[in-house]
Amino acid sequence: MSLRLGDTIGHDWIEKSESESFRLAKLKAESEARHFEKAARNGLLAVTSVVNLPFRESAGIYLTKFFAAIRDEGEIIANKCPACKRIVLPPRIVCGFCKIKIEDEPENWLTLNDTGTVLSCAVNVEREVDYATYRLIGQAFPIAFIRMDGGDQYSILVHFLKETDPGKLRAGMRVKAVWKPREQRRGRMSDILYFETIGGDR
Amino acid sequence: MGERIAIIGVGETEFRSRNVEASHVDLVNLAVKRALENAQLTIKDIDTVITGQMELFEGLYLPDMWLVEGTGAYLKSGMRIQTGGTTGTSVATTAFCHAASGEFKTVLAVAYEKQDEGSSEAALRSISEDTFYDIGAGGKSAAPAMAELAMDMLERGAVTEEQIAALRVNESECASRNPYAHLNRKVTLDEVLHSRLLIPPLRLMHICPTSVGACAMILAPESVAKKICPNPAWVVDWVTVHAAMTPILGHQGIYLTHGPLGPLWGWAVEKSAVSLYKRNGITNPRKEVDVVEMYNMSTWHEAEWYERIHLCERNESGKLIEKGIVFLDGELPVNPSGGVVSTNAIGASAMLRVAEAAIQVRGEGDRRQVDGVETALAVGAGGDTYSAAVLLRKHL
Repeated sequence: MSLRLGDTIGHDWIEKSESESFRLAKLKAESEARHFEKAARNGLLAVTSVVNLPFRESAGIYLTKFFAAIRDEGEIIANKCPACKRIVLPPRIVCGFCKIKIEDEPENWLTLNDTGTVLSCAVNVEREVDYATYRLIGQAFPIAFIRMDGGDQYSILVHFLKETDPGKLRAGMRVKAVWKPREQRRGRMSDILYFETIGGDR
Repeated sequence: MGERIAIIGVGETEFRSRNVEASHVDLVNLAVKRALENAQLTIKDIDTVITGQMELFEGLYLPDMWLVEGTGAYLKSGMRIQTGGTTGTSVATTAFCHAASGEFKTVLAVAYEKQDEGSSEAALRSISEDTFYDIGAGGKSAAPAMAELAMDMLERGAVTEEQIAALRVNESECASRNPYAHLNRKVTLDEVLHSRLLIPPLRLMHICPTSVGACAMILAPESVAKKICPNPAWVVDWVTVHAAMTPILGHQGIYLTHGPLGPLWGWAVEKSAVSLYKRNGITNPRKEVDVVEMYNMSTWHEAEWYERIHLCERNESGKLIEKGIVFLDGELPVNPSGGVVSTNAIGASAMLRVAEAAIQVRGEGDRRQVDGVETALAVGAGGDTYSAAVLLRKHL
């Protein structure tokens, strides 16, 4: 299944077709059900409970700015520790190394480029299955650690790569963010679809 | 530090992938009963109870409350500990602190997991969502992390796939000698090398299983231990480190192989182990420690942690395996219990490291016993990037 611009990926992206992983998950669930049924025949019961809880998390001042920049400007912003000068991505209120507050002042904020260099990546051969819902979840795309341009050694994002051919994946490859259209962006990391390969590998 | 302390009793259940015959209470109770028998005590002799497991995996709210009949904690003091995969060792170290405080004559530590009752994967993926990453990019699944580390190990020439497979074969040999181990079938080199490929170069047999089981330990300060236990395992020292850091980002960051600090699981392990050595005058752990029990969530991690806990130089872990130094009959056996790749009831896994190390020190290992163990090292770790290193000795 190919991904088109505008599709959401990750948690929202559910493949409906029956794949190998899907069948395996179903088999596992059925075998578990049989196990409990067998126990029930011996007079031992299992009580089924299903939990469905929606959560809403506050992003706080710093991450709100970060996500607003993603949604409204298509920009990745970070803040900087006034003491050790390192770049904090995602922006946080405190530098964990120096243990001091990073004030919400303009001089402590900066904009990174949406290009970067892949440090390493992992390719899932099979997509993972959520055994609670039998939905295929996880990544159809390679996961990569990407060091963003305009930052320092600490400004690293984890995201997907568009390139799925394992033979073409390597540390040092140069990539650029592919953004969803403005009207579809919600202020989340998934506003970036994935990173596509650009030339000039390092 | 307060009073010197000892482990005077250890109890484990048999670990399996399912246990529909036992409820949580039954499961925990079996481990507690065995620990009490091992220490020749009754629950009336226990002053305080520390419990722990991974939250949410079984959908059980306030587990310490539901477990009270199983742990025997009614009207006793105590607390519940949760530090992710490290929980078991954290339960143990919290129990150490209680025993060393001088406030208690005996402390019972209990850790368990019953993973057949829910979906650990679903709990990790759907409930532990964090604010920053909503893309599911490796944040909630350990496998990509292990693959990252494995790839790094291969790239820098630290180990070969054959060496890792040989290590897995040794783990299965150890597990086959441990009556409590979960994956206790002996596997062959060929089976490991051709087991299902998950994320290159990570294969199914490189990864820990999901297990059901419980572990309990009884601790006492020196004044009590000397009176009631003929064969205590003395807890010489322990160090806990929490190495999560936001740029490298909480649980995402632990997967970072090429970051400034290296993979943070390993970073925490290194910090705790090195600090433990320094505090106890250990300069050459390979010679001065007789057996190691470590939290090897994958065989690749075990190899990396040989470097991290200074059993060898960087990129030399393959040689340790090649020469069989870390095997059951080697110079410094690592995980004679079969390790986490054989048995992984997550909440209990990290406590099993300490419990199995104590079993070795006390000479109660039966077919998995290493000869002449005077000093044992146990290392717990987990996704929260806590690490705890514990040093045990036969003599004070």
